[in-house]
Amino acid sequence: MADTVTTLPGASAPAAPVPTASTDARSSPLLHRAEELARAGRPGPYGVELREVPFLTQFNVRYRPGGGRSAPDGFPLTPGLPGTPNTVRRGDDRTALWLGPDEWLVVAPPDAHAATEDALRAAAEAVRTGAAEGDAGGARVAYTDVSAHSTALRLGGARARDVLRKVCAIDLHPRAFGADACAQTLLARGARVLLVADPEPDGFLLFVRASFADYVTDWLLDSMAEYAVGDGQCTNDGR
Amino acid sequence: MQLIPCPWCGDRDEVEFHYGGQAHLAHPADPDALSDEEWGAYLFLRDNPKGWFTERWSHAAGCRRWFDVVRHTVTHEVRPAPATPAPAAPAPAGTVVAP
Ligand SMILES: [Zn+2]
Ligand SMILES: [Zn+2]
Repeated sequence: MADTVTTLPGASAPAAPVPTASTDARSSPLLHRAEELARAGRPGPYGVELREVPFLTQFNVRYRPGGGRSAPDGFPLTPGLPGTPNTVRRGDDRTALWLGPDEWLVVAPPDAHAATEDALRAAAEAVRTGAAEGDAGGARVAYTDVSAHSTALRLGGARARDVLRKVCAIDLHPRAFGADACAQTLLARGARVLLVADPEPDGFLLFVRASFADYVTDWLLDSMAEYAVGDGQCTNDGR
Repeated sequence: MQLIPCPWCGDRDEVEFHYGGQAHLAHPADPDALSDEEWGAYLFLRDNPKGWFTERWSHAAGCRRWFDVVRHTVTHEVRPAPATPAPAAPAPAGTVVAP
């Protein structure tokens, strides 16, 4: 499905091989735990799996439309910015996540960094010159590259919701936290995370500050332990 | 668990918030014109009612917005402040399981 977060690189692919200095000098916060994460998961439709989705392109966007309006519908970026609090709007190559009434996070694959920055620069220019359709005076816009601020973890599998429930106070039932939901909250009593539904297949993306990545990983591995063994079958339907 | 209603994110656990004290305090228009006593009163003197109190909170671990609530200082019941502008649509996600 092109319009889901799984279009993000790595979201449905196996963990990337450990890069060597000759091919990629970058290092991600959880690179040193890739093998541990691969061992801890239980593959298959009744298990749970955890891995890092490193190097995602992330831009923080602040936007206030002019003309006394508050809805961000006129922002000239594809996909548009979601106006409903704690929701996500997905496009073919970018996802926009609600962070606040005038603040969003635009996420794209690692190799789309330059293209995303170009698109945001063009959008900002359009807003500033009043060229954006329907925009009146007083519009304000800014964007900031925050790609290195946090890394992402993908928790997937039928037990993903149960794993998160043990470390997070948010109501994660599908009827409360649906396919287009996101939330900034505290995980494991202290780590600030951005939690995003990643429903294809059943799972979640967690954006975690680099300095908290190990801590959150420790909690999630502990929470996963009871589901990573055994042959019992379960689904999330109706729970 | 004490739940606090963020006007954007809905009910969330108290630990996600920072307290901001009494709401609707006006900064003196001309601070230089104030006596030391008046400046001290502006800085340090606050209402301390037994009952409903309008106060500021920041959703520090969530949307990072400041907003007002009214809290009963005896029962700790918290309600959205009448003056707090409500978002266009209620938050469908990110609410907290009742304790
Ligand atoms: Zn505090
Ligand atoms: Zn909030």
